[in-house]
Amino acid sequence: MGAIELENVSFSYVLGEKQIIKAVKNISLNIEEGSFVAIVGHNGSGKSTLAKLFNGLLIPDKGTVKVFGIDTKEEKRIFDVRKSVGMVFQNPDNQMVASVIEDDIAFGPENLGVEREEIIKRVDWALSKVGMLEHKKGTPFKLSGGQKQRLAIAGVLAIKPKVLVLDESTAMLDPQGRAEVMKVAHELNKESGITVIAITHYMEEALDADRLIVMNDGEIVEDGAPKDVFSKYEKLNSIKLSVPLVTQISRKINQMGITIDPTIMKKEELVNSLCQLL
Amino acid sequence: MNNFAFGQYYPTNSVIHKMDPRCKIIIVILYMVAIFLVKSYAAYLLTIIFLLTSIFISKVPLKVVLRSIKAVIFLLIFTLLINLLFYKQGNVLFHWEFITITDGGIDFSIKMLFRLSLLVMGASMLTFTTTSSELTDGLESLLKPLKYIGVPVHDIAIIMSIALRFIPTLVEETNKIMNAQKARGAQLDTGSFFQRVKAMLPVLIPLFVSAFRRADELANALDARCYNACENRTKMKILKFGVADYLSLAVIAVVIALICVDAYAFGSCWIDKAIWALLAGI
Amino acid sequence: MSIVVKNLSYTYGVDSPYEKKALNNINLTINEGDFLGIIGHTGSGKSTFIQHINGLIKVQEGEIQVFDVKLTNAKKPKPDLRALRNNVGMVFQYPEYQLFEDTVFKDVAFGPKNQGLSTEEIAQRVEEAINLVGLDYETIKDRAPFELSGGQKRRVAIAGIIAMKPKVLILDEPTAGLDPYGKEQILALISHLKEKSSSTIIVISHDIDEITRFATRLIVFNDGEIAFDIPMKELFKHREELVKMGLDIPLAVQIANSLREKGVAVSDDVVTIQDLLREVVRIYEEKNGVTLDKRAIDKSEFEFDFEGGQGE
Repeated sequence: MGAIELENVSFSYVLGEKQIIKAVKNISLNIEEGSFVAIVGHNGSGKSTLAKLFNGLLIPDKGTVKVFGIDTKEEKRIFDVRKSVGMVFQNPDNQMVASVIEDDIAFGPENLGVEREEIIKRVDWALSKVGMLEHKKGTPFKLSGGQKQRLAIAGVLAIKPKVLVLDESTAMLDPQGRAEVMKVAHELNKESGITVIAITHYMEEALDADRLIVMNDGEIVEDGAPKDVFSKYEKLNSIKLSVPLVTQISRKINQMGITIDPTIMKKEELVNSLCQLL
Repeated sequence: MNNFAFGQYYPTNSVIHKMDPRCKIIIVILYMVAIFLVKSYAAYLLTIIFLLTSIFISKVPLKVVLRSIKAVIFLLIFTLLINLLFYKQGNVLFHWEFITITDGGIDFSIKMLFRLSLLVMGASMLTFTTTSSELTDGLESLLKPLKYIGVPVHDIAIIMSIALRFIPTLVEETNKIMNAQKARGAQLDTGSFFQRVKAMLPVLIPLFVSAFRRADELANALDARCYNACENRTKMKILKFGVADYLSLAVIAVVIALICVDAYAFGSCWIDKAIWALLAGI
Repeated sequence: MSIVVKNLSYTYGVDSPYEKKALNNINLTINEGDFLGIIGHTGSGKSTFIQHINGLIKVQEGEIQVFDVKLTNAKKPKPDLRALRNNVGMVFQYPEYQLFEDTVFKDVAFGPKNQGLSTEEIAQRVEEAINLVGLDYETIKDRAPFELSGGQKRRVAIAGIIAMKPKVLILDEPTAGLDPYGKEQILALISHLKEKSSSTIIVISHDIDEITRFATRLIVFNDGEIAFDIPMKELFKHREELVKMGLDIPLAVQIANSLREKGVAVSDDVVTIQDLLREVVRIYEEKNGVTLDKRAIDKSEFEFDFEGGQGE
């Protein structure tokens, strides 16, 4: 059984009487437990809508979404779904409910009626997982974007989810903040076995993923290992996407007639390949 | 925020900062009641001593507390003038057209000035020494009995908490938008009242749009973190009265008792009268 | 010389527990026609500095001369902020959040209207500015800003500043939050603006790879001070100091450096990806005695044509 299973899922936004936007079109997808999946697409490709279908924030018009076997349509079990799939959003400022950090982290488990001693343990655990334990008693106002977003992740971790969905959680951060958040996500995946679904428009963030899904116009257009997806440069380019900067360099060198792998993803690998050529 | 404004938390880690927020809320309420019971200068002196002592113990600089009056300075001057010029009881000292100044008016307006300033400083002491989450926790706990008559106490508390949490964010956002529009040549602080309101539209419209966008994302975040998942919500922090709390309640009780004795026993304001008599004798 | 800054210092929250020195004795001259990149961490003082130039923060210490306007801490004479802001155009972070009118035309016209221009002049400038940012004037002028895409909204906001015809254009994190396509579009737009006018352009960014693509002069803020003020070409000399400050160095510089350490004779002035590619090709050609097709070097990821509103 996969962590999240989608079968022929469609979702449309109804804006006016005649204005309907088909955001997700007949998607079938199986996210395996323990995997790190990146979903990439330009703005308006339907990737954020897809994310909100994963934890029942949106319910499909057609088809079914099952989270560990539970259909998100079952209203009575919606909190079992949300307990399993934690979600972090784009703007870290809009996800905090309290002015003191530990109070904010405790919000999720408090909602679930978790015992007090257990909440205290979870707050410490969640904050240490994102490397923010020292800020426990502080306020979030003076922190950097990356730090705030790590707190938002801790707030979700305190629910003890099996799946963590990052819904464009790096879009508003500087390069350093982006790196911090991605590092935490990979650690959670490797060390705690949490399934991570990273929704992003930065190809760089898909580099270390087990699987890269590319969306365009509400449909899945590519699905595979990052390296294989990056080899389809023309196709990506035609849907307003690009490959990581290092891959762009290796591709250009290859185009000029130098024999080098055009889909190199890592800087070190590129340097080594160039050394042998030069 | 560039300026240290009225009502912001001032961290010093003093005994007062560590007190139970419920106790601080009760004391501030009692303190306000006390101020309205006060009738004499002697009793005002007592409340001032009480306030100064708590400021001293809280380690918040007196200068900072006094600055909270600055926020309401116009209101203070306004009430002072109104009372001074239009209060008619007592001996007339000065009269011109519709203006009458009486000794009773001077007495009354000075007392009113004391009353308002003491109120503002007392209330701001609560916010200087208590974080917004402590305040909401305290209020939620104090309002708990209302739950049994169907008041959604927890929802009210979470609304308060979120409102307080978003004030700095929205203030910062307002500043940003104002700067952006000023850079486009907007004149935000000149002209008549009507012109100014109109000139604020380029700030207010984006601010509302942004507030709604934030609210939307916040609603999703609350849902994702299982808000309203179960009836029996738990709390990580439990509030507990300590020695300092009981002691300070005792102190405010004594202060109120003394004020009542001064105001209602032995004929009203007997200390003041004794002092006036003494001064008159000299 | 368009902007001269002398001994500028600034402290936030004086007399409060949150007091913080944001700028410490800044001295700087910005010349007409400079294409300047500013980098630094959040809180390094770069935003505080930029807000000074536009008169949005009152000078506490030191002075700033922006063309004819002098800014000091003196109460009188009051500086002519209107003249100042006519000369210095400022595009803030997420500028689309400042759009408020019900049509694109009216929103772009807001600045010129505040400048007190005639109706004809305003209309002409609005049309020019909208075309300049690569949007089609006729199709977009009557649309509501809120129904446009993220990248379009941002370009409308930039047009609103360009329509004021400033001599100095400042852009704060112009590509923040955009997807790669939107980002490339804004970067191409900035280069296009520089080509089209001789005005001074200042770009603040967290992303050094972005700044190296066009800026010719680099200023690094660190802890409220100017750590470096150098021609972009000399960036490599300071790479270790930049790393020490916790700032990123451009990918091309990192790669060139690694190659050099491994014994490949890469030239010292590699800053951009193009520089790196040229060096790789040069060394490869010398070693193998061949001539390569170099057209790929200058090819952009996406092609944008800003003439005639074909930018979308």
